[in-house]
Amino acid sequence: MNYIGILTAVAVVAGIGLFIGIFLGIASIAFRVKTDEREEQIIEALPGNNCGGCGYPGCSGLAHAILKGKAPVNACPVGGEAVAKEVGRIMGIEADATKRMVAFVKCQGDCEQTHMDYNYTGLQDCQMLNFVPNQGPKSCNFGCQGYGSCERVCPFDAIHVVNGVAVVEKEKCKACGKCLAVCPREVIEMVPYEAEYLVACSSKEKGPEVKKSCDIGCIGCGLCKKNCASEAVTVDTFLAHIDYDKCVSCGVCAEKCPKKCIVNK
Amino acid sequence: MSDYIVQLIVIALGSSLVSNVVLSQFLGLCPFLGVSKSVKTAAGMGGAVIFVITLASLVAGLLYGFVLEPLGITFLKTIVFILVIAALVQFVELFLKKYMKSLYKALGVFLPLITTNCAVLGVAITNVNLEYDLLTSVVNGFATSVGFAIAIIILAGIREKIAFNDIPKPFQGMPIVLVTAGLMAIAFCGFAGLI
Amino acid sequence: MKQCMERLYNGIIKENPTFVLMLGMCPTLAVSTSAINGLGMGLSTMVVLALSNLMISAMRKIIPDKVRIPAYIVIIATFVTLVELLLHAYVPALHESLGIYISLIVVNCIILGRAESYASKNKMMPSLFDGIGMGLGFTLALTLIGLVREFLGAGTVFGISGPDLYGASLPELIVGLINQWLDPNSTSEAVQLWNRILTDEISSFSPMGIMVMAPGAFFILAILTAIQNVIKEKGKKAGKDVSKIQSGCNSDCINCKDSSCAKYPTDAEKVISEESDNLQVNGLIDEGARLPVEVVKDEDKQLQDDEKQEENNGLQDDEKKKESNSLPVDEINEESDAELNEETAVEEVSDEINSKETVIESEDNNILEDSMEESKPEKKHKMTLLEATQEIDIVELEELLGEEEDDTDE
Repeated sequence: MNYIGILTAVAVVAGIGLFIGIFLGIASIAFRVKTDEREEQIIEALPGNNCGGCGYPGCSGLAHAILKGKAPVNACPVGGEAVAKEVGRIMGIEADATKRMVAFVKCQGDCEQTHMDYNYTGLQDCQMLNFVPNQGPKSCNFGCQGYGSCERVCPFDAIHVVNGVAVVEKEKCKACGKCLAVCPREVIEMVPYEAEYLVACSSKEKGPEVKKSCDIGCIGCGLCKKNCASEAVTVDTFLAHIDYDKCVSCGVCAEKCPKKCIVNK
Repeated sequence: MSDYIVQLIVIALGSSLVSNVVLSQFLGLCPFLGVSKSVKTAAGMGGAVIFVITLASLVAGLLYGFVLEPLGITFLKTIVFILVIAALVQFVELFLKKYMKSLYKALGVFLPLITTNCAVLGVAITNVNLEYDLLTSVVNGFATSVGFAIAIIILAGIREKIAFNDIPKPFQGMPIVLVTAGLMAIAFCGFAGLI
Repeated sequence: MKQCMERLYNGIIKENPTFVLMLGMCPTLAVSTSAINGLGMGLSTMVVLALSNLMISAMRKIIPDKVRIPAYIVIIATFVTLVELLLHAYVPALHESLGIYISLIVVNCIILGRAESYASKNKMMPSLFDGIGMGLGFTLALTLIGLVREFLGAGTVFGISGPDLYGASLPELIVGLINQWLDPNSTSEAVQLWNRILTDEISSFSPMGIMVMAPGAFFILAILTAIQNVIKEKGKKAGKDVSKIQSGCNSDCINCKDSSCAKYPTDAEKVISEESDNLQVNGLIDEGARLPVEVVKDEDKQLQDDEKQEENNGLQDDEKKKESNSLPVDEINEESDAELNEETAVEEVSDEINSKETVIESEDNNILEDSMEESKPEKKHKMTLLEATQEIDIVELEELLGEEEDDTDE
């Protein structure tokens, strides 16, 4: 039995272990980085899924910005009022009331109601369609192409392509803005959660052209504008817009629309 | 002297290209498959790996030469190496966090991923098995990690390109990445006649 | 005892580390170049796993939480050194062929993972059997993969080789075998071939060399994972619980939220946020950033169901209202349609008038004729797109060259 060998082995390993322990202990104290404890609390209060909807790199980025005073306490669209109140409490600042917004796809052109110029079998990505003849198989160049770039990008599984057009599930949408950023046709818009009547078309073409491309596109006839009592509807380049600050959700525009492109959500 | 330098260059080429650490020796597969989704993260990972493996082979070589060999307890190399590597990475992370914030932001996150990585321990043990002296060990470590960085950046580039392709349903996700890695391995086999 | 048996079954079949959990890929690919290597490696890993599980479970109450990872590593490294020395002494051939991969059992995800997730929380006997079970499962997987790779790559099975076929087809072989039995001295090629095979002159068939090299391992693993994906999809459709498949470690360390894993990136939030922004906008993350799991209580579910029912009722009411209001709405529609038709008719008439005016005026003016021709090709441009559905090249050319092409075509 080589006792000296055994003892040497034990001593060396124990010695190294001890040395490392002491060394790291000293290092962790010597190299401590000061962090404001409020930052930890704010990160706790935020939803924590790092969607980037606030415009900052993730929840820790927003916490950092709030601490520095660069971001308002109600900057998180996902957390809404509850989170704004909590962050306001931590920072000692009053939170302003936030209006809940959701995304809305301004297009109803699904497979039955819109016309296709040709059959397309290629990369299933909306942004790649810019390289394809006439920017995509759908006749209307302003509408949703339906290849699902928005669906892939949504972190909350709130937008899906149904029958060739993207549809947002209002309850799941947290208004983080990723689908807006990725849509190459800019067909998605942020609307207030409470908005009931929405123009579901983005086509800026003249009436006859729109009729050729799609059965339910806005032709810019202006009947909605004429019948709106609160002057909330405007028609601009053959497309209707609703101003939600003035809209009282009476629904007359939707009734009067001949193409049924103002929808009731 | 010039013989020595030629030998160093040969070893460097061999470790980085011919017997590439991840495509030939299969060390370090976990981060290779996991961190290669975009070229930016792959570059960060590659940088961190180069840093850690070079430093680790230096420290391991020193420890082996001055402590383990003279005392005749070379059989303890596995335990001692892994302890020292883990401690080293921990220390480097603390150091970077305090004194080199930009470097920490760039590659600090990947450091714990490398601690229990096959590649670091594998390089240290290979240095011992092939009985390299200290400088050769460090050069070998550096070249190995450069080979890893090359492989992971190429894979990240390919993965970005095939992200939108129409891949058959069972092969989506990990299988197509493995097939890509296999094709890369075949390509790297072409280096076999280099030295 | 029952728990121990259940642990064994779990490790070999239900949560097989290679086929189900996808853990420990490094040694799987590196070592499975032949069935014997796979078997040897698997058994060594099993020994290390069982012993380290036992010891960690025995010491689980003593080890403080902050230093648990280094402590586990030291314990595992000790057993690995033991096993390595034993192998070196008693089976040097295996030690030669396995090389450094024996030492690398230390950093095998399986061992550290099982220590972390099972041994540190359970008693000694179940932990021991869990280790044995997982180790047996791993051995089984390694041996199977090694068998496939060895057979395809070197033509041998556990070192035993098979006959060579040298280009003869199967019918020829069968006929040749019969002829050889009837008349061993015949001069036909197939009979001669069989003579050579039966006298052991020819040994192995031309193997697919790539299978024992690195790329072959990647391909086999890819096929294995693809089969797993198919089983997972079918299981999901049938409603079975497939959460265990590929649940061990999907190697996606950056987005991983498993803070108990040794590889968990510190300050992972920062990386997840920055990287996932870039990756998500580029559509490169398959499932988006992982969200915190929302626990929907039963009460909440009932509330949600109630809300949905109310919505449905509300929709039905709306439909009834629409039906009752249908007549006036139709009239409104007719009116608006009439107005619309008027307006579009007016627009068309005005367009016609404009075009006629241009025709009259352009009889003498060449510039106006050119403008007419420019407006016509636009309409014909769309026609050519509709007609040429398959010939995208031509369409692209037309796009690129624009109206010049159309003019020359006309």
